[in-house]
Amino acid sequence: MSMSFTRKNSDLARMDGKKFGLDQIMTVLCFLILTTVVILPVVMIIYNTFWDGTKIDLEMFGRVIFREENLTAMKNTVIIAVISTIFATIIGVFFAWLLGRSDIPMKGLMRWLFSIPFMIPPFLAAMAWDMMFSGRGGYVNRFLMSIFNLKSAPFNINTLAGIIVIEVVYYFPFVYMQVVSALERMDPTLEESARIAGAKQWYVIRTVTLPLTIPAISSGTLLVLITSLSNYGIPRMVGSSKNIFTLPTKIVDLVNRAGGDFQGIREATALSVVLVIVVSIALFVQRKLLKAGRYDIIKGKSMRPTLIKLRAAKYPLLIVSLVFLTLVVLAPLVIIVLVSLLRAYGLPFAWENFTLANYTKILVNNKAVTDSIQNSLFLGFSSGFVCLFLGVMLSYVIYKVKPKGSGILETLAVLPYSLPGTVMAIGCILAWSGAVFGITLYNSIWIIMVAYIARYLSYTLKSCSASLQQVHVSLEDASRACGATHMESLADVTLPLIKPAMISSFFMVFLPAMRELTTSVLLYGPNSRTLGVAIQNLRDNGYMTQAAALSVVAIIIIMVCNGVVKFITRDRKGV
Amino acid sequence: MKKILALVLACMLMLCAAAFAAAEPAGNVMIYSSAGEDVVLAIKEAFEAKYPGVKLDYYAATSGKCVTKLATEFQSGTVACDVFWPADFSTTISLKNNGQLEQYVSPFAENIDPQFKDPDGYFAGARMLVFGLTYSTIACTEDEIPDNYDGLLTDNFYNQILMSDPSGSASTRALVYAFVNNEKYGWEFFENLKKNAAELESSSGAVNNKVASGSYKLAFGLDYTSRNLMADGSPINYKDTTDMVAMAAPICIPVGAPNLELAKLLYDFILDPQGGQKILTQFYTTPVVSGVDLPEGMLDSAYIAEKCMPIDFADLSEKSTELLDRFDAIFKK
Repeated sequence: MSMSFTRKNSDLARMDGKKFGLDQIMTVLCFLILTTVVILPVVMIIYNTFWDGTKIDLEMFGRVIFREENLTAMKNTVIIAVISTIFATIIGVFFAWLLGRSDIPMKGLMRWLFSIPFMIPPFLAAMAWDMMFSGRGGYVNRFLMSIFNLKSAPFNINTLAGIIVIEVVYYFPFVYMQVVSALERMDPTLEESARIAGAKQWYVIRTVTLPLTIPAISSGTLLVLITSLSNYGIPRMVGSSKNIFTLPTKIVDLVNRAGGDFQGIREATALSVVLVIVVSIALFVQRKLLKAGRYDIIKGKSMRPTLIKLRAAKYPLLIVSLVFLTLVVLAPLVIIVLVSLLRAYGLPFAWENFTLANYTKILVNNKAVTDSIQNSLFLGFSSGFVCLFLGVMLSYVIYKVKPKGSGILETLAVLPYSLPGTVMAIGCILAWSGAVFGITLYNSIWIIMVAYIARYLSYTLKSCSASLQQVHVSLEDASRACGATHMESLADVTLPLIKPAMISSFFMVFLPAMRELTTSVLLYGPNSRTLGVAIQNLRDNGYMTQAAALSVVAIIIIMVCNGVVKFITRDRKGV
Repeated sequence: MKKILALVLACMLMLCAAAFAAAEPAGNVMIYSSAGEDVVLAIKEAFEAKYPGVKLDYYAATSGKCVTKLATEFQSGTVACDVFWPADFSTTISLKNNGQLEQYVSPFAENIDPQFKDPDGYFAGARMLVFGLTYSTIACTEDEIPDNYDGLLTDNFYNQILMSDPSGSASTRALVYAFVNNEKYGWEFFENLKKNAAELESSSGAVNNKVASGSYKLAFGLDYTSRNLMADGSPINYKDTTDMVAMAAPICIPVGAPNLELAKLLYDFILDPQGGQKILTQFYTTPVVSGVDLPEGMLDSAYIAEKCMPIDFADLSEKSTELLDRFDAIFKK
């Protein structure tokens, strides 16, 4: 089917008297943009790992990889990533189904709660959890100990399991966001026919609904897996005092140990090549698995899926969901807000210790902060739009045009995301300091934008491709048969069908870009400080309360932008 | 004749004036600094007030990030930094050995103790980092805090001591070096610390926060970070020890600095007792130049120079990996 589809579009273009069809142009464009913008930093990292300045050096790579502590770090990384991915997927799919397909009340509130983890920098989320459940005097621990007269703390977050729990609750919205838009656009007739044939509700979910949303689930799962593999903030905050190291924390340690010597930094890049390899394998496996099925479930005569009545289960499920969301989403947020109001870090949360001084310090007459807010807004919107545009085009090329090497295209687009932010930044400096085509972006805001695009493209690509895989080719064919050009059928048929995925994927880039820390902190120049840099500097200098205050400001800005964009792009009645 | 002479004189005067105007420094100068953003901002303000034609741009981050940024710039072939201010000497020594530093002796460098500057004039200390004991006023009382490091090995501090990881913190690395090369302490000291269940945190910021929240009784703390938090009202206190560990954070000019003349001007300004050195004291940072007026409780660099354990940074720079590996073998088991 895909072959005839490709041929048809180019044939049609030739009939119109055009030498190259839209498909070919987009394919070439994708390869060009990916190789220059996205993959170049990764190439620079790999090149510098294996080239010591005079000759090819494989010995260092082997030596670093097989060092005992690095092997332990790899083991930890894989354990954390695999377990937290499994749980995040289960919870994410459950909530997606609950909100997408059932008649549970208070959906608006829950949807809003789901977007919150995206707005909180990982280190702050980890700090909040550490403050609640630390084995050494966490608030919740102390509370439980005093109530039940316990001798020792009931919870200890500073363990491997603790890191996994934080990552699960931090990442399950990734899966949720991917799956919910797929569920909302699903052809209800498939489920209905199963029901009419006598299948029970649970049986339908298990054998019809879930299998059909596998592209969305698997792309969400993959995003969680890659994010967890490359996450630095959470294991660093929670694990270092108990000597729990992961690849990203080891990599950053190696960078810091280098002490001005690039040979030392090369050891760090060697370790990050391992991450690149692991992620490539995961991508390969995902493609192999997905090849088995067909998922184009949105055909003609589509209508809104019917909502499933939960009946007696409605209110118990609502209570469970709300309690869960309050615990995992609101509680950390509340802790961050409370810390931002403290006179000094470490004081107990008591009325006399609260003040607004942290906010006045960072907001009043602080040009550095107001500049960084402007820069982050610019970066958030611009990289969000560019990633959205690229992501739609790429997924269209990969899943609908299907040129030779589409698998390579997908892998290339996702790889940069597997690098820890620090390593990505090093790659960007090496790539954009005039080494390639004499282009110098270094120390300007553009290098940060290019880095964000490289880093976050995988979000929009995964999100849009999952949605696009559900759109049946017959819809576009029909539009072409009615005389629409290729461009028109794209704009009027295909894109509107994946609009929810497009909007949510924009936010998946915009939200983290607004508060990104680790990449921009190495890349920023005199006129391109970002909010993340400002937060990081406050934190590095020990001003945790002001760092929390600035994060709260960031979260408020993000929420306002979120509301404005949702308002502009809302579904208008009668259209 | 007189007319001609007057004309010549007038011309010369104008030329002089023009020359003087041209000598008025102008342009942009870039500093990479580990000294904390508020310090850099205060220096920027004062420097730009003194030289209105100059704009001081800065990159303020932890020492590790400054170093990574510069090292990557050298690797890529474009240096954007004029004055480089990391936290410890081993960085500047390895830069010097790689031939990546300009030689420059500031007139103010004379007032710096020899152990806090490079004998060949490639870098000079610009602010002091003094280690002491930072303790929680919630978790313990002032009387519990020992006067010296050997007092940490008691049961009272079992699993109550925190330290930043020398892998990530260059100053802690120097502290480890100072201890292990001191007859009184040696590696045994760290083995005993580990036996007393001391723990590591990734950065000195994290260390301070953990102590401030009362999770640990005390930590190996830096004077200025602790004093800044104390000034904010954080429930911690700081105590200088008898055996001192102190080092100077050096400034230097990297080879390929875009604006060498302005770099030297800024270098001088930072070492000026009436300029940068005086500004440091507003942020509880000990000046490296002796004789600057100090806030209550802070020590003069000449006194510190006399009391502190010697650190051979050239040797540390060479044996850094070895040192960290041995430390990790004790602490990260």
